[in-house]
Amino acid sequence: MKNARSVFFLLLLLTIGCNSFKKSESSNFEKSQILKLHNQSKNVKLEKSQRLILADSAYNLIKTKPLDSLTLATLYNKSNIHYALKQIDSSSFYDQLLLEQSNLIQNKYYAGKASQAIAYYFDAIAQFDSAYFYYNQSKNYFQSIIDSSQVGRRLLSMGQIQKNQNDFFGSKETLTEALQFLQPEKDINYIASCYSALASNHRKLLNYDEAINYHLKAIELSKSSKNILAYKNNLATTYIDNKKYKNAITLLNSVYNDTLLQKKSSQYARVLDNLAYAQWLSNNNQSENLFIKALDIRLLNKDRRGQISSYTHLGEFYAEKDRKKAFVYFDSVIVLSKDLKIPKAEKDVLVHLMNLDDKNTNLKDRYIFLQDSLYAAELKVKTQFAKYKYDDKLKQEAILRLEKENAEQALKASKERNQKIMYLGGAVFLASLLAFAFFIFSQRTKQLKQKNKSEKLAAIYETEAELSRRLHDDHGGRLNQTMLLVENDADKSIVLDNLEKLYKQSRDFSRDINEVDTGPYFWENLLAMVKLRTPTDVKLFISGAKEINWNIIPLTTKTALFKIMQELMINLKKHSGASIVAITFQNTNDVLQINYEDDGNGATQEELRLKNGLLNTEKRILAIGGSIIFESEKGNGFKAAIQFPI
Amino acid sequence: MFKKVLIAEDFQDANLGIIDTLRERLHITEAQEELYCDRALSRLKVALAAEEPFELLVTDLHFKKDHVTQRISSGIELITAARLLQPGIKVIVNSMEDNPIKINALFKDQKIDGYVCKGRHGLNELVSATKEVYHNRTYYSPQINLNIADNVFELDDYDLKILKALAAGLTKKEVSEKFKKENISPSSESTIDKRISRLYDEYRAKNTTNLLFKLVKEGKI
Repeated sequence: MKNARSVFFLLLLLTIGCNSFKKSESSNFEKSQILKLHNQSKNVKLEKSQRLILADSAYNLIKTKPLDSLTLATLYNKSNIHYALKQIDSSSFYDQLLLEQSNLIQNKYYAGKASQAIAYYFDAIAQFDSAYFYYNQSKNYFQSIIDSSQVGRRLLSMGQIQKNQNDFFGSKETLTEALQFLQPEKDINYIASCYSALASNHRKLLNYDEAINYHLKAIELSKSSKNILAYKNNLATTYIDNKKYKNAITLLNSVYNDTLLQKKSSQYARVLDNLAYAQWLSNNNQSENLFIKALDIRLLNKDRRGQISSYTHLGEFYAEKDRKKAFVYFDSVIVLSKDLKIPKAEKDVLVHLMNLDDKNTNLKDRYIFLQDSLYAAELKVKTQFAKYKYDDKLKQEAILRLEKENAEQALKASKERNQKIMYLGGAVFLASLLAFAFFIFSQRTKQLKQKNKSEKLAAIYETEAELSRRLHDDHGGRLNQTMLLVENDADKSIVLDNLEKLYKQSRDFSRDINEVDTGPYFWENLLAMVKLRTPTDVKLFISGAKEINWNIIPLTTKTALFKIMQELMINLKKHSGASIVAITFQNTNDVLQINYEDDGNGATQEELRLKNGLLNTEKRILAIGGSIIFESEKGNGFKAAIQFPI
Repeated sequence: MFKKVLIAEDFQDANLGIIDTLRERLHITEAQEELYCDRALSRLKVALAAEEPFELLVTDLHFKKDHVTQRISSGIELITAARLLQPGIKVIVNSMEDNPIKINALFKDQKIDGYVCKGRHGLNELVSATKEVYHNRTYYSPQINLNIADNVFELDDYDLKILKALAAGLTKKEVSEKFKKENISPSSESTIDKRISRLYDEYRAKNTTNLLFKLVKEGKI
């Protein structure tokens, strides 16, 4: 039987094991398939469209599954491929989805990545405040998972936006912060970018020495030759602003001759334009060729920002030589700047125009208007960026503080709750235990008391009833007789005799009712009572009583014993007709045993029941936990065995 | 005869009867009554302070309880207090109690000088008692028979052992030897002889002894 059962269990276990194994195997298989697709889609050697197909199949397989980090990874990858394919809107859509789903499962890494991607999108479509907002959000996600490098990179992006939006002081602050987070081992190019951006800020704030220092630092640190060229170009512009044209020309020439610089690129055009500008300012070159060459490349590349720069430089170049040409170039700048919404460029050009045509109040009005609106816009931008950052900091601090407080409170509350629960539980347990014990105990004592009480009451009532009967029948009857004797003027001595009998009778009553003396004379009193009540023709033997230590017998037992003996003696006198009585006392263990035996008429059970006094006796004994057994047959004496617990 | 007697008794009529009797028959002029134990004790104190102390206290044992709260509420307590106050005072108890055991205890513990049982002859007894007590003798109410019920026999273990041995047909000498063997003391023949004589004396009649033997043999005692 036992074997059969264990075999059954073994089989059961095997079936369950196989099922779960199959299940996990199938899910494992599916997961590995998804992972394979996902990894293939990340292979940059493949065609982008092919990668997108792989990414889509991976995503389609996984999107029915419960959300996990692999789902997020496939989404992120898919968005990246869309972006690479210039499907900006799709990319943006999946970025938003990624952000939502990351937040659902609280994956901070992908939430940070998604925010970064969204910010990048807004940066690209020139919604800089949104871009700034999402970069900041991304920074916060990475800050919460302590990814220092990512935090630094986001701060760099934010600082660059601030710089481009003319918030130079704010940008400086953000970039300095970025430098604290960026890791020299892996972020060296970002650090260089940081210094470059810082240099630009200083240049705009006219701190040329600082700007040059930072540019040199950026060039020194950067591992990207391409970036170094750009930095050098920027350094050159700073030199130009600082009127160090020779330095600028030398530097620009070295860049211009660098083999890395691609001809016809925007960067090339910039270098060319700056070189021309520096040469013209240093009076080395009075030809417009280089300017035109740069402008042509910019026009070709549709580099409209670059075009503004070229037109401005050309306007300056012709200002003194050919006013008409200068006006044309400056007007082009105004058109472009209005198109590109770069009022600063328009404002800068207006300065040159006012120099050419100082009587034109329209230009002055426009300049003042632009200056005011630019100032307001910059102020707005500055406060906005500061607000994002500062609000965010406040929010974070508040969140941290709240979290701390909450945690402390939760800890405290849980401690208190636990304590409360413990105390309450303990108290409830104790209370219920006590209540239960009390209930049981009170029920028991109630029952016992009730039983005891009712028995005692019954005994008392019976005694009272007996006394009242005797008072009425004996005493009352005799009183009535005496009254009649006085009424009839009977002899005084007869009346006195009768009165004496009445007096003695009342004394007997009092003796019956009297409280039993349970003190040191208990036995003497009991013996006296027995002696008083023993009829003269009866011989009564008592044995064993002298050996009993009456002091240790409970008072209730003594009272009950006295009353019982009294009843037995009354019974002896009234009914028995006995000539010998033997009463033995025995104290064994915890029991006081009394045996009564006479050689009288005895009593039938019927008669016993009618003997009120004896029945009262029985009730008294039962009430204190004792017992009495009557043994009697008609004509064969009367026996009673009484036991009391001590 | 006593000159100053105090009667403590809660039945005023009884008091008056007692006082009249004492005045008429014993010519005691200063007999005073009190219904409460406390008042009685105060009177004793006052008299003692005035250097005219009471010579005799007649008191009941039981006093009815009523609305007046009493520090002392029983005759026994009053006697004890009175003796503490005035050790030489004579005391007669005049009560309904006829239990010889209780009365004996009064003589033994309270050292009372006389006991009078209330009843038809109570006043006569009180006169006699006063006279006896005045002559430094004790008085015991003749109504109470101290030797009542000579038909009740109380046996102890030793008695029973002797009786059992005798009932088995042993002689006094054999009983003595048996006791020695069983380490029951006293076991000397003379002691056993004395005890048997006392038993015979106590039970007086020979048929009682025979009855006793019968009961012992039957194992009823």
